[in-house]
Amino acid sequence: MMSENIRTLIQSEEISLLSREVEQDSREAETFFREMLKQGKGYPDVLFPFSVLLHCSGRQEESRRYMAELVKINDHYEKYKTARTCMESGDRHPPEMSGYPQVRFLALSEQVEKHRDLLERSFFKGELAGEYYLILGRIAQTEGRWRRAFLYYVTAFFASAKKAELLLSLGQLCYAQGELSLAGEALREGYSAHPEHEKIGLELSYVESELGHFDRARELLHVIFESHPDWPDVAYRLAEYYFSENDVGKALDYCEKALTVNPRYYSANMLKFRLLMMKEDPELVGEFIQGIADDSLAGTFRIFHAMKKEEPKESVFALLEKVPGLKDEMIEGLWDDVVRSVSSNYLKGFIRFLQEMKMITEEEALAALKRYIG
Amino acid sequence: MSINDFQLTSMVRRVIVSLGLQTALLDISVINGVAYIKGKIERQDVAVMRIRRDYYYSEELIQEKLSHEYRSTLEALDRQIRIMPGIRGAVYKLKGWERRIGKGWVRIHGES
Repeated sequence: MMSENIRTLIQSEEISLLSREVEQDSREAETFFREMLKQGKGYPDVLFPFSVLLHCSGRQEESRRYMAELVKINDHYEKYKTARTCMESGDRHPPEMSGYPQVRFLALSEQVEKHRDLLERSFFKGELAGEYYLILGRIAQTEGRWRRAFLYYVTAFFASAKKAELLLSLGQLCYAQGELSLAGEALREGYSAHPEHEKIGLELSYVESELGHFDRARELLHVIFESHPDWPDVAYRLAEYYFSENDVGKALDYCEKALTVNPRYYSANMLKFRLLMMKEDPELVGEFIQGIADDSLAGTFRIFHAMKKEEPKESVFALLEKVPGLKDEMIEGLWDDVVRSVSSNYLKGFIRFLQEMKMITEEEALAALKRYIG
Repeated sequence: MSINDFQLTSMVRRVIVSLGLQTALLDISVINGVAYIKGKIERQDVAVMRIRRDYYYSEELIQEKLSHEYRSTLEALDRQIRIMPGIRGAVYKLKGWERRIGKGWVRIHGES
């Protein structure tokens, strides 16, 4: 169990073991990022961890070169500019003992305090060192080495005294393992200390919604949306929330907000289509379909819209033929909510027509009739 | 209270995170109990990088090993989504992959 894995108190022996294996983990991480760079994956952001790894492994010149390349591309990102400054100044600014914020989660402050001398002897300190241990922790996490990831995150906190980063990383570690209450504890503490940290807020909103704390999730999403109306995922999550609350008007409003930023947003288009079908206004649906940038999606919606308007079966059939795969999705029941919005009489005739045209078998026709007509 | 779409989307997202897939490359939602996942399936982890490193001499072998790795991930994803209470189906629109009835996950050539 993950909870046991991180709830177990930190032992001196494991800190010593970790310090002996940092170099090896660092070499493997370097190979990993070098390979990513070679493939162009995650470029240019991958330059950041790669450069930090090189810096902390003593290859300052090479690391500065990569960081300079990154800052040249992303000159507006404060984190990268700070890292470059730290690299140039030698990163000689470790946190003072009095500068450590209190972390209540798993009594981590007390645990760090207990091992302070050993940590001081075993690890680097400073802004970049903090980033370095966070990177090693994330790599350990992708390999499923949870305890090691946990220890690296705590070491990162010791190195740079960044409470928000520690709690976000631990929250994500617990979340990935399905330890939702632990994830909630870590992220709530992080959010209450740093409400301006949007990543914590967004992550926490997912945890809260999964825990069934819908009001709390909605509040968080509203706060994030206020500062980031240009984040379509946040607008869409609000649309989903209001749809689940049967508030069609608000759901539609947030769907439109998401689509304003990204008109090709698949989920937002899917939800908006359903919301408009519920409004029983064929003209509105028609206009919406007309404006969809994705031809395949527009083609699918046109079929259901034509069925709803009870257009001649032959023309709906012709439309259906143009969208391979949709028939199977309908048989699987994936469009049930939309199909049910079509009148029973029309549907009955249409199912029989599909059978006559040999698009579906008699067995499939009977199953469809039973399912939709009863 | 029954599980609603808002909650189910979080659950689906968590499965995706737990499998090491990049959520930033995916559009994830649940509408009326049907999960929709669209975008690109990509894992940036040590296992995937090792394949590229260990079989650097043959692109064909790399693709074969990666396909095997990704197929297992997609099978786990689909299995875990379908057993969620409240989910009645899943639609995938994934670049380079298609789920076919009776055949499972099939790699579509010409798409990376």
